[in-house]
Amino acid sequence: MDIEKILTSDFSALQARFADDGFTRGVIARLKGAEKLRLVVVGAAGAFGAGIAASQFPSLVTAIAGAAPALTNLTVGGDLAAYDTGTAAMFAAALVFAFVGGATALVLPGPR
Amino acid sequence: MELGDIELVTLAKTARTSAAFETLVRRHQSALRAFLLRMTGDAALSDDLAQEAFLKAFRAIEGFRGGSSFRSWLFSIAIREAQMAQRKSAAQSRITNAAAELDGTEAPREFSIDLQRALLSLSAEERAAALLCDAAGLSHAEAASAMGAPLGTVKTLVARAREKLRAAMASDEEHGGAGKGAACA
Repeated sequence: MDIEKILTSDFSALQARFADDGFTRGVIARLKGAEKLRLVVVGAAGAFGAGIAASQFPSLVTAIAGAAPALTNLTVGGDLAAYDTGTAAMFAAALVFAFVGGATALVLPGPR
Repeated sequence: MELGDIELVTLAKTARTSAAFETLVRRHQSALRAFLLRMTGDAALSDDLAQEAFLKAFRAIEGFRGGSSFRSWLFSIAIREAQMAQRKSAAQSRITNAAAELDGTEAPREFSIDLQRALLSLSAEERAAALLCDAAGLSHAEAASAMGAPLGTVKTLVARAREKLRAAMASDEEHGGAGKGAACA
């Protein structure tokens, strides 16, 4: 009795049965779902971090202004400051931190 | 021109998307599922294990350095998954039930009942070695890499498994007649 032959033919029959039965689509759907979830988590974490960082900005500006009063004459954000002079610096800081968060997420190892 | 496994792995690493990995899944899913089905004797469980193995492979693809073939690396993940499932008592009972069910009439007609019964009579290591080398067509070295065992051990396991399978199948033929054995051909 040729066991190798029996195993091979049995295996080939099984493979033919599994050739195109939707299993691959299921795996890919789960992979893409995991990718999306990861992007949402990274995005949410980046936004949260940017918010925290921005909330700390006024006290930083106050501290710098105390040490170097001339810095208070600087306008952060250019024309943007004309629209919302009260939060322009915070907005700029939030953008910078969001960019840093996004860039960090891009260079992190691992599949997306 | 069709890309090889290593090129696809490189693409999956650099592109960081599932597109290249999708081709790898399509290429290896049938062999992996056939292997796991014969390892566990349970079609639903083997598909769950195969899916889990592919997901783990995708997450760990950065760690694949190409020291072995992608196929043997994938099978090594699947073997670990199967071992973990066996350790879980629920999965263990499912496997046992699946083996018991083979004696009944619920198994599909095209199922190789005698072969599955003979395979389940082997130890997990013997079964894995025989399936990897004789069924899935891996070399002894690839099987050793997939099983995390020395080459000599794998050769011994394959030889022992063949002997046991031969004896089990011969015994089944003597007791069960030619009708059941025909499913293996």
